[in-house]
Amino acid sequence: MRQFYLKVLCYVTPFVILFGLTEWYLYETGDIRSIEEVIKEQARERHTQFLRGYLSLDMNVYKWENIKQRSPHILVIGSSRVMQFRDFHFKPFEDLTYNAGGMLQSAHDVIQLGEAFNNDLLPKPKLILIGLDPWWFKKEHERTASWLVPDELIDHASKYSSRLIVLQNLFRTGFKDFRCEFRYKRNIGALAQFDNSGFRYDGSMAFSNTVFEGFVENPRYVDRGKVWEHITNGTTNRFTEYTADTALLHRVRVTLSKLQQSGTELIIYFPPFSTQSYKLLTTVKMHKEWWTFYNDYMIDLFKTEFDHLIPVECPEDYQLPDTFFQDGVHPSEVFVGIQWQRYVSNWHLKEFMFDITYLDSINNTYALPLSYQAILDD
Amino acid sequence: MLFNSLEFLIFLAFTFLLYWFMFTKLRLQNLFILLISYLFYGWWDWRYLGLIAFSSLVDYSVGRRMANSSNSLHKKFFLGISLSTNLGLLAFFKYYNFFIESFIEAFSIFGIQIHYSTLVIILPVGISFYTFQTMSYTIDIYREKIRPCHNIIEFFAFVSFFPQLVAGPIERAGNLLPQFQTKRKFNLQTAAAGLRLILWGMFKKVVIADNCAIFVNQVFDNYDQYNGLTLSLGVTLFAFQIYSDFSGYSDIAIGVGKLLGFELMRNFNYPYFSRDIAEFWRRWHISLSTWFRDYLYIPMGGSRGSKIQITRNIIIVFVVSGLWHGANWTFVIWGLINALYFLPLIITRRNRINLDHVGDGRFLITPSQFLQIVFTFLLTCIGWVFFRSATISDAFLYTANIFVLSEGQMFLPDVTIIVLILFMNVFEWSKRKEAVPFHLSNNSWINMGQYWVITILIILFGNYGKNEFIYFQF
Repeated sequence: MRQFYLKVLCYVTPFVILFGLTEWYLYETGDIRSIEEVIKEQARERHTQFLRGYLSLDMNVYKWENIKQRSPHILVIGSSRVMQFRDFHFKPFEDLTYNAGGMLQSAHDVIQLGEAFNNDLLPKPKLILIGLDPWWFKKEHERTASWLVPDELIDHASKYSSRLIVLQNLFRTGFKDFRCEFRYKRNIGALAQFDNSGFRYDGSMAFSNTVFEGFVENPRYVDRGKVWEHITNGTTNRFTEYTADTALLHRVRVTLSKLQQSGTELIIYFPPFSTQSYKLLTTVKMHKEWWTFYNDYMIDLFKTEFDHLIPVECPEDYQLPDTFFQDGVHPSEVFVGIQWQRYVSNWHLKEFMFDITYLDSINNTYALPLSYQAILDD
Repeated sequence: MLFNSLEFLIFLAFTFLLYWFMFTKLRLQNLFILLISYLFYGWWDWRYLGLIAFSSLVDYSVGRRMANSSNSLHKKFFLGISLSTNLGLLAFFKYYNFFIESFIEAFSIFGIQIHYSTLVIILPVGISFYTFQTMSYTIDIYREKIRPCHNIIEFFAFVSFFPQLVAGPIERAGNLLPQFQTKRKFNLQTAAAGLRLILWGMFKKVVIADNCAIFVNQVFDNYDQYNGLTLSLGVTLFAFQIYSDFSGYSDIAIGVGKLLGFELMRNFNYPYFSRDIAEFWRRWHISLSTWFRDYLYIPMGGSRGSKIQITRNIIIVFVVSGLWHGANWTFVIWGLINALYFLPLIITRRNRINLDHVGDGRFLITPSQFLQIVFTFLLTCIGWVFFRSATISDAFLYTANIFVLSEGQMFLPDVTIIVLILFMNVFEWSKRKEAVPFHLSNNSWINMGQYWVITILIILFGNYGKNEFIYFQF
């Protein structure tokens, strides 16, 4: 028996070392800290940002749990294009605000979210600012079902198999993404530690420091996602020519109407584009049909049902350059702040009277067009 | 609890340590095996436990009473109880809705509409496997081939023995029960062979089967969109998926058995190296094929009698075998196709010409042997289309689209999976006369290096989603 154990020991030792090192490394990055722990840590230390680099991001689990635990009165929700709304934009209700941007990836998610609120799976907020992207309503959309299925919201930090997937990725890419410089130790997750990007306590997304550094070095607009190229050539799933799915649009409207009828105020937000993207969308022929559907038909339709609506805008509407955008479709926090300030200056909802003076002061004293605050220290 | 999960690895390690260190007496070993087997089975759904306990209790009692009776009528009566209980459980849990729906459909052909409702029945995992195992026990007692078990713990442990409980091999009481009646002693060679089998089984499951599944599912779920080449590749990869999945499970089961001092029967013997369908069926799911041979085919007359009788026997065996796999007409057709393949061989008495290993004593084979192997593989692939498709019409359309030059899209699998399949086949080919395709040399370091390489391949290329074994559904 001893011989058997020796052989087994000899066989497993290299793998125990390999898995041990992986576990230690992932622990150091914070990638394997559970969502539950992250939420507690962020509540304790509000400057902590969270963004995994190797393990599955599990953003939907993270934001779902945050909504569930914090019961925000004001909820900002949509795709990554609404992630730049900050809690202080909603002063004096900043402690009651949460940004769940990124959770919605398709119209099916809107419907699923509505069901989650109506079935009390999530606490119903008093005010929801919901961003609707144009490509959600295309018949050929890549997503045909919601990814917000409660039973499938799994925190991969609890799964051992996710460590194996990390190992696979590292080996397969020849350790190209392997880094050992934990510059921002207060953050949780590899990307948050390496680049100081990640989700803040309020759910908004902090851009990577590399973005700011690049801007300081060369202060001009860079379309990092090469959106203009995709719009011009009709590439990526977002910008191919498409037919509108009116049935899906109808289901989304019904879902949102139900929410409104149940007492939740809704602000329908059509997220902005950079001026360059906006102009291309209105001029490139292949996009004409769906752009008209989204920018004219849909907005008019929603206006008849919902009191609060922010239409598609671009920096030019405010005599601003595109440097207020990270790329052709993602506005900066300063731009959404300016947009928000203009919108709430005519706001009449007594329950939520926002601090216009404060908004005015921050929107006039930002450090960079991309951020109110300059590069953060280590 | 899946074999390819961390829970199982922990479960196995604890079981092994407790089994060999704490429960050294035979009774305690059996009691321990029974308890952990029930824990293993209850992990899926504790409600299944009542069913297996009931089935075991009936067969235990029936076995003893049958042996005590000298009256052949009484014996028949008790055998009837056992068969009707086990087949009744199977019929209800597995086939109730299928039969009801088929019955209604048959009437609707003649314009008679019958209103009905089906039941929401959960199919207990592995029910087809353990009911067949216990039936073989009572039938063998009836035939006086074995004597009944007089220790209820031994018998319950035999029925629920966790390595082979949910997907076989379907053991015979004559082989497995005596092993529960003898104290197991640790044997280094057996345990090491067990670990090798577990490792190879894991490779086949996690690396080959689960990676093939990605491509196969995509192709079979959208077969109307793809061209003939893609559909051909889809079914070819399914052939390797189902082989790696099921033989991988069997290897792990046999390996775990060896770790605990048990010798389970071999279930696969490199079936894709077969030169004809008869050889294929001697090498594929051996425990089920031999079960049907011994308890259905031979009692019906086997290959004795007129050609019509032989044809009838073969068709019945293959159709029942198809139906055993699942309550769907696709499995029946799959069985029928295999019967049609088999009939010319048995009628011309050429079903036992390939009893040896192909290319015995040589690495390479003759071109005609190679062509025979390819031809047999292609025949099995046609059957697999029916096995994998959701409905018969899907299967026919899929097959038609392979042969008709359709204008569908081309979709190719990842090159990595093709290379890995080749690796598996070369590896198994080189060791095709051995039960475990390992043991390159007598130098233990070379062998250790080999295990490390396989483990690294598992880590690098394994698919770590939650992938159940295909045969669990049967």
